[in-house]
Amino acid sequence: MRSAPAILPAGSATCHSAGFGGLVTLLLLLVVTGRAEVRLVQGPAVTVTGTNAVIHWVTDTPAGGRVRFGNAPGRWDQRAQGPVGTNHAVTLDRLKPGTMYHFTVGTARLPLATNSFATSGPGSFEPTATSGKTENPDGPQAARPPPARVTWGSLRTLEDHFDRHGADFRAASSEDYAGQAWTFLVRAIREGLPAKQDTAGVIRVFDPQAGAFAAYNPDGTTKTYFKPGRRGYFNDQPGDSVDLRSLDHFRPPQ
Amino acid sequence: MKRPVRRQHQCPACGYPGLAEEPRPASGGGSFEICPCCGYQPGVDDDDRGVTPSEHRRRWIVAGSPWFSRATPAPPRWSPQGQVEKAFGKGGK
Repeated sequence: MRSAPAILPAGSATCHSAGFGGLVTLLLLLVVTGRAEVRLVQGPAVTVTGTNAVIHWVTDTPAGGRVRFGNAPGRWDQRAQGPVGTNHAVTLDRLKPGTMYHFTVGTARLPLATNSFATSGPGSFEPTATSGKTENPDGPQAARPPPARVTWGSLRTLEDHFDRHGADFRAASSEDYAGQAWTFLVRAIREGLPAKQDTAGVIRVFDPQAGAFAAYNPDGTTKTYFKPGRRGYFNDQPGDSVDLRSLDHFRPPQ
Repeated sequence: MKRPVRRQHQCPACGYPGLAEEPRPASGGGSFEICPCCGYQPGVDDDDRGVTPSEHRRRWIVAGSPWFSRATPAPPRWSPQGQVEKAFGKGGK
């Protein structure tokens, strides 16, 4: 039978009742079994610079820092590590430009949290359009979008979104702007652009190549569509990374 | 049959009480709903442009508190000063 104190969090009040001998026994048990509970206090946050990324996070007790990462959620085929401590900063270097990375942070044995980030620059997210026009990365072959009353989540807000963000995409009208947001989703699903889904089911999509960002309701209607000005904006958005190509229930409205 | 009453939310910048979504929902990030009154967009103005609600409010007041939306009209007898004071107190701090 396992000793109960070994699974208690560090600093548990039971240490007082155990006395000094008990405390030593507890520490020995923790060292031997390596089962001290490590909790994530903050992060993980990502600072991306060129083809390097530094992953920051804080744990409540000293632990070794381990980052496992790869190009698809759950496919941790690369890893990096840092020293034992509570404030962790692990550098991932020589990354591919314009590429989405998914990662998990934790100790050597215990994953604590997952997140994702994208490096900037040209890379794996090349537009499929053959025209070479960066303003229309969805290409002339893209399907004709349904009317905005079908694709926009809250139609009464569409004019305001167009007024604020329509120029980002040289949209000629609010209808054109809503249509571009729908076309962006179609392309995001087709190409598997970087995406996150939060606990409310909202999907956020980013195209590092075009610098375009959109948020969609769980039914696929658009919440907003614009070009963020701040590097790292998408990385800081909430939600877990998802592969849009494998989300069966999530489709652009028709 | 009674229609369900949808809860409305207050703009953190200007105090407009008619937003459809919570500006900063529990799921994280911003709602992306643009306030028809002052144009503040949670998730964009704050998270991308670095403009806090109070800073946006200050700029909006300095600009004369114009109604933002072309599509949603201002409520009858709308008073921007009264709205700000009701939400944030005198001076709108």
